[in-house]
Amino acid sequence: MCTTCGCGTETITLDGKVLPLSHAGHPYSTPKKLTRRVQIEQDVLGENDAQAALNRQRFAAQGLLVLNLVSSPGSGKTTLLVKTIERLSARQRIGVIEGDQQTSRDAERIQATGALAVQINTGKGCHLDARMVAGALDTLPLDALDILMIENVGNLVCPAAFDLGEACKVAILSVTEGEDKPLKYPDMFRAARLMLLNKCDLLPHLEFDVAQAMAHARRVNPDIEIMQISATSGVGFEQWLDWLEQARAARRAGQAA
Amino acid sequence: MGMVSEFVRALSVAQGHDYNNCMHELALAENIIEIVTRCAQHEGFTRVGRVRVRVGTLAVVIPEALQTAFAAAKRGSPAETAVLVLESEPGQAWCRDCAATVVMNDALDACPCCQGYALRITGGNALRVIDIDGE
Ligand SMILES: Nc1nc2c(ncn2[C@@H]2O[C@H](COP(=O)(O)OP(=O)(O)O)[C@@H](O)[C@H]2O)c(=O)[nH]1
Ligand SMILES: [Mg+2]
Ligand SMILES: [Zn+2]
Repeated sequence: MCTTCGCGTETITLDGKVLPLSHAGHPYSTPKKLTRRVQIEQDVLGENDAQAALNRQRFAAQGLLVLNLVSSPGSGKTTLLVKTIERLSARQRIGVIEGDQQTSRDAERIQATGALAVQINTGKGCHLDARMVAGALDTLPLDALDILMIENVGNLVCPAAFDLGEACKVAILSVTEGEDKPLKYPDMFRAARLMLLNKCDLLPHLEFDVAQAMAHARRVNPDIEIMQISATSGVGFEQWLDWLEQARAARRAGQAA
Repeated sequence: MGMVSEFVRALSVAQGHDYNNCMHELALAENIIEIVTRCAQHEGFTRVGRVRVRVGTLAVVIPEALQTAFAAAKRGSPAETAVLVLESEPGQAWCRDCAATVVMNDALDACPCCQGYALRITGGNALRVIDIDGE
């Protein structure tokens, strides 16, 4: 690729035709050599990773299970959380950090169940980062919680790159989105430990090929666990709630050890 | 649609990016500027020149978008005179079936040896500032 402006690493196509990228036109001229060169070797996400490590330590000290829920907008993350809290709150104390660009509507939906929820608004930001989560943690009584769910901003791209300190990412894919989402957004499905295939109650009305969606997810992540659920009807919830309780028990054991 | 927006759209679609609400390259550019600013202060630089950044081909970043974001974000910062130079680093994965490290340059690539997908990324997925010129 062009080492001055970085263009040319990707082949960009428009309607299948390669889009010519003019080199002559790029505005970045070759820099003149200055007197000193300082070796840095620093990860651009290093600060986020360091803050995520601090968050993770904090979660481990409490034996708290923390999940980072990622999906496109509208896949059903908030609905899933509400239903999960309703079904599990007698046995597990669940808190929620909501991430959206605007409004506190989702936090209010969670609070209506009686669970603790705080809302982070990212404005133009398209993902949560570890520092935002650290700020939210200061407002939550972590020792009064067993499970903390972080609903990330609806976006299948950037949240893959920003570690929040979670135990793992859970990707939600709804059957109204198409079987090829895992191939279109491979980074996210590779970063997730579990994929919840949501809105399965709608399958009779759609031409969604469940086997193919699962094969696509396993192609980018051979180890991914997959469950078929419906956040509105509750189908598949026994398996999901068992998974949560087992993960929580494992955290507890990790803390005791 | 104008040529520029058409280009941005094609770029976004090619990357599976929703360009309307996803601009994390800006956050990355701001991080680079922070690293450069800290270095310039530490070294007593009054002028920063070339900033070399290694981009893994498997990193969640579009080099062109990073370059554009950097140009916008550096204005008014101590890195204002910086010129971002991006170098690509090949991706690397461990193939479980071949029990070998293989080259992987696209997130959807199969193992070049067995054509399988039992791959775990082991390198070429980061973004690192290598060095900074100044005086
Ligand atoms: N039919 C059906 N609709 C669902 C299901 N889960 C969520 N929805 C609907 O999908 C829409 C978006 O859900 P929401 O939880 O706000 O998605 P989020 O943006 O990921 O938080 C709402 O209208 C929900 O009622 C499901 O399992 N089945
Ligand atoms: Mg929501
Ligand atoms: Zn192989």
